[in-house]
Amino acid sequence: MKIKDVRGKKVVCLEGEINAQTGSQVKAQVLDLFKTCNLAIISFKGVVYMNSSGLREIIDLLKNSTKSKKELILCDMSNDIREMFSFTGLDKVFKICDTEAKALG
Amino acid sequence: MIMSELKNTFKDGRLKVVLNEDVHTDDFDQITSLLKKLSGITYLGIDMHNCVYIQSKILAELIALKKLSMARKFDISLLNINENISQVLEMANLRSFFTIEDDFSVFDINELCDRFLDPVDAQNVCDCMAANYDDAIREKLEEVIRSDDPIKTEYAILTMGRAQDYGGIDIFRKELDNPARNVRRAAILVLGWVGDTDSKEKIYNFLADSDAETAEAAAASIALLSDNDDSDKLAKYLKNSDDRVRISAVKALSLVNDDRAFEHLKNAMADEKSEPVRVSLTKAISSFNKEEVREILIKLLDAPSIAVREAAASGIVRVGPKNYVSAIVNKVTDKDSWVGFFAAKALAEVCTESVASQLKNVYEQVEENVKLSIVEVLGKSSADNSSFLMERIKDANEDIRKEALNALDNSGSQEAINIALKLYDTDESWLVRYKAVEMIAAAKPVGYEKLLRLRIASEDNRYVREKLVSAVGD
Repeated sequence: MKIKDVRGKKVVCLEGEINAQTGSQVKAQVLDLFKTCNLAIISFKGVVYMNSSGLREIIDLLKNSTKSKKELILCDMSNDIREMFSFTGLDKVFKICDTEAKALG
Repeated sequence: MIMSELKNTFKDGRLKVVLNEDVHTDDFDQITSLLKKLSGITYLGIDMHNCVYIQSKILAELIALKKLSMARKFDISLLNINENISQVLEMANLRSFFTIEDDFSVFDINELCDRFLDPVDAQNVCDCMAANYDDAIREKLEEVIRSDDPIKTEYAILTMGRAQDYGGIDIFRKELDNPARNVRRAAILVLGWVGDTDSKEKIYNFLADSDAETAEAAAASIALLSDNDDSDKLAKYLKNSDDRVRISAVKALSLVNDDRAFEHLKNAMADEKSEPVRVSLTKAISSFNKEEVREILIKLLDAPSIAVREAAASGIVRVGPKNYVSAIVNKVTDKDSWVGFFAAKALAEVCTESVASQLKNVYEQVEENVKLSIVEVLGKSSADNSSFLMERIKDANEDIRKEALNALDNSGSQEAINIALKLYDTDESWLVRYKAVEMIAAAKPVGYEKLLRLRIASEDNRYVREKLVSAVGD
């Protein structure tokens, strides 16, 4: 996972597999980021695999973000990852943009 | 006529004014007066949800406001306009003159809940309420759920779920017994979102529901709520007589994605006869991070079903070919050209000189879609394929010429920009000219602005002309 700063906005670039362990690390790092910013963009461009445990960690991250009034935007998902979100109806729960550029606004 | 005062809000430089049903030209005097009185305006939103129709004199007032916005440099939007007004703007050629948006923030809670009944607005209303969720909204949604309207209840549940209202779990559980299937479906989904594992056993009862969407929602929520035992439980549904139930179970097992799920899916592939289920199984198997997956997918490239072969080839693109490069190269000439298309694409990350040479050798034997895929892959190759790609610039197929130009660009060939400079005003295909202009604008060779500007007048394609104008100005 890499974190970059684009025009003052934090973009978290996920890589490889999102499971219980990596998902939990993502959650911890993004919540840590929220100590100094109000918006985090999570790019799924490098994500090849994700399971329900990883997805649960991302839902939990959203829950914590909402509670602390922080904004989370997901972007750059492959068709397969996007299908997971639409299968579970979570595409309506998360703010999802097609590309990082759109997420940055 | 007695003019009523227009409802308005002003916050952070954003002024929103709600027009009345009987909109009158005097209303615009009020808006102008507000614009004079308030300082630091960056945005004016004119809400028209009360207006059924507008006369031409109102159009003149809107145009005057637009001109004022341009002079004073603030944005202006027309909010919540209906189809009639949209058509009036269209007929007057003013549709593109204004930004037109939906904005539900001007509605009170009761009006918003009524809009749950509008199939076009319902999702957006849900978003708006979830984004502004507070105790008042929660109270209203609970009231809606207590009413007998199944559509409003469905959206009230979904809104609470979207707002991550974990306090609503008892309500969602109760709605699993609602007589309306759309309400039950919403409750199933939301219980998955909020992670209510206590509801999982009850949700299993919906996995073979006669309503396919309910069964799919149940499968999704069970996957979200799953623990170590659920793969075995879900696997029982892989033997259900209904294809749709088996597909839902496949998707759920793919999402659970543990070792047991993989074994069940692999075994199901051996017995399954239905093509749609086999396609779903193929996609599901490719979602596992296991070495064995590639071997299974390569074997499936020989499946009798074209749809399964395509799903397998697409899966290989996803997981990467690793040690199966030569097997995939052989598939580039498959009798199903889409298998060839995906097989070539799967080689993009491993296109060494040897692979590139094999692809070039079979190029003339394959169909146009496979050729396109090969040209694209050669542009990503570590080998020098520039002379082969330059030959493709002469191809009769405009898609191949465009892709060859793109591939030359991607490969970093020194010749790429010179070819673009030849094609931007000579190629008969606008697709090729567009790509050439894009490359020139990005590379900015000496004198490019003059060349592109000269081309604007003679370019007859609007997309290329717009690209030229965006590159060098009108």
